[in-house]
Amino acid sequence: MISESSATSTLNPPETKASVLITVSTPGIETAICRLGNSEEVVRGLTVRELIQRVINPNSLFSVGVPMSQLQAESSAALAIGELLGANCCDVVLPGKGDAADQSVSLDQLARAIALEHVGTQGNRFLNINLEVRSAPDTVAPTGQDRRQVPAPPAVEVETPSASIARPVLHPPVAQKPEWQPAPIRQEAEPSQKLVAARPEAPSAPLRASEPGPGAPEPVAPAAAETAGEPTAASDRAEAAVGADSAPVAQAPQASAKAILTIVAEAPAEEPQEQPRARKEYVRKSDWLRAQFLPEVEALDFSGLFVGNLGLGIREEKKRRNVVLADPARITDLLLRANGYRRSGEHAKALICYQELVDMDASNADFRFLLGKTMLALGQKEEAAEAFLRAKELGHDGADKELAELKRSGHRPRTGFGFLRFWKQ
Amino acid sequence: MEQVRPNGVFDDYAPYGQTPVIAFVNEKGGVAKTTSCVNLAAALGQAKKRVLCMDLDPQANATTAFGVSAEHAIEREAHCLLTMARFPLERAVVPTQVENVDLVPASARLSDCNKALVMEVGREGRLKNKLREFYHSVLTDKYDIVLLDCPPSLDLLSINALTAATHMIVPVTTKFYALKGMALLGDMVATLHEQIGATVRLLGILVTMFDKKTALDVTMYRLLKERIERDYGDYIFSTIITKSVVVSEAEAGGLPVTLREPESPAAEAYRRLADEVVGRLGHDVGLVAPMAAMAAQAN
Repeated sequence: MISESSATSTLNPPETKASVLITVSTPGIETAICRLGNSEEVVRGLTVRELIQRVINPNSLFSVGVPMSQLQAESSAALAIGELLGANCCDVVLPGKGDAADQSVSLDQLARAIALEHVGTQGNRFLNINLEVRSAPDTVAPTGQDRRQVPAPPAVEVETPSASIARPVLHPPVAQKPEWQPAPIRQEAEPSQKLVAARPEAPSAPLRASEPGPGAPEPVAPAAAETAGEPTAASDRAEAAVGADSAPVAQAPQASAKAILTIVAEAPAEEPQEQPRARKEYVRKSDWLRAQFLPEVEALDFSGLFVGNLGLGIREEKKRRNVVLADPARITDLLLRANGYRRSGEHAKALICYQELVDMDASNADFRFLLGKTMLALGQKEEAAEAFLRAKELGHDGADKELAELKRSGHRPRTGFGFLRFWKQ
Repeated sequence: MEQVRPNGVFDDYAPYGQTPVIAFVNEKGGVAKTTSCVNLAAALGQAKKRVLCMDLDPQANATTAFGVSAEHAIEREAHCLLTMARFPLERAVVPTQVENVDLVPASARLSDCNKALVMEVGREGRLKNKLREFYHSVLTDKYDIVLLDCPPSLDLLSINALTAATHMIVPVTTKFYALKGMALLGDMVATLHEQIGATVRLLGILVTMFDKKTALDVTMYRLLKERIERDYGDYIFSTIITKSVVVSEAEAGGLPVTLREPESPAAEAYRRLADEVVGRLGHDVGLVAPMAAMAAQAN
């Protein structure tokens, strides 16, 4: 029993963005084409040659993707490639090296080389074959005419595999060679990405694997049942397949479409770049929280906590004096220590502490007054009078009494501005 | 009238000589008052400071956290100390398993003090008098620092603590309600200062249960710090107590975290807090020794 759908190919015409899914059948069964273009139209019962004749317009470009999984079953690959080539509407062009015909590349050798090269290759899903269909010089189909209007080819005469089959060697007569136009395929694919067709002498050398195209469909048919066996067996099948198609071509000169067949690696299509999203204006959560709670926190009155440290009404007093208070705990402890020294009679130590307190808060009347008392105890009446005067200016109630005591004791300021200030009291 | 005792000079601003009495107080509950008090006491004890911790909260969480059994709390507790005029402080003190830390335990009976003291004369100063008697006595061993764990309300227990304390630490979480509780506490302190001449000074605001991964906590901390430093000065402890389950586990085990998990970040934070507290109190600048020597000379 002959299995059906042993290999799958995909045509991707870059101009029309259409894809044609080709299912290559085994010889003698002409159920080939499944889908045409992007439409849902399903065409059945056509061979590859009929496809090219009826579906593909002349002077158009196509890309045929042969699944690598199918290529690994080389007989199926040979079938697929052989059918394409054996349609006698294609010529093989080795990239950069001219026509395959000039290099005496036989169809079965080429097919076998491609299949062998990719047997066991992992990671590649498709070998893409770019195809350019051109109208032969002797064709009657006008340019742009739908090839569907061309009369269908005559019925295919199926030859048995045992019969002697002319090998599908690409030796087109020179007179029949069309005037090739520069293949636009070469502009699409970089030379480094192209696969070079195998030479008959070294079939496995030039072919390189290609990355699959992202738009290429998954294989629709399972791998062929045939395993990769001897190349001769595969070539036999290829011959059979090609013979099936090549026979009518040889008998039907009206198969006028010619094609350039180049085997290239399909450059991996770039994934469509995501358009950068329009950035939203985000408000940081901390900023939002700050805006929410700032008025609330500012409205809270914490001044009561500090009455022991700074006295009542500290905020207003602080604003009035514009004093940047130093470490309050330090002030408190220093004051306690100074008082202790003074009460215990160590006035020299107390003087140092009071002087430091005055340096820390020069506008504190209490500190000035206590400094004056300590100076008075140490006999420094001149400095004590100055401190009392300053304390009085700052509003200390006891400074007047101390100044009066100094006057009664007969103290006289020696010189300077303090003399006048003292006697004005 | 000022008096001189071996512990230093006694006056209105230093009723217990140079011994600071620090109250942990905030009207808002759940701000880690007890946790901070217990762990700070343990950290100070590890730093060779003799610490007396007084549990004034009827919930008696500090008592439980130190692993003190209820038997002690029945016989000797703060309730007796506050309600019984002849009950000296040293009778209420029980030792704990933490080195250098003693405790005045509490029980649920302590909540009756509010009723019992209503009709008493000088009810706000009961605790202060007991502490003053304790420190004026030449027969008792003195503590370097006394810590008062206050209840989460501004009742007579808190008023007694604020009247007796020389300093207060306000634990506060970085939540708005905790800040409101702190402002209410300020009103109470100002009232005590005006009415009965309380001289308690703010030693610092302790930020507790801080979660640096929470935007709310970070924002509120910055707002609080900016506000306090701008209007009043550097009153926020640089040590921040972060939220940690290790502390809760240690409390359930009846040990402070500095002893149960000494290598944990929470224990390290409390040790840093102890250093900062001692630094702010001036105990590390040799304040006590010169004063004691000076007082001895005066006698």
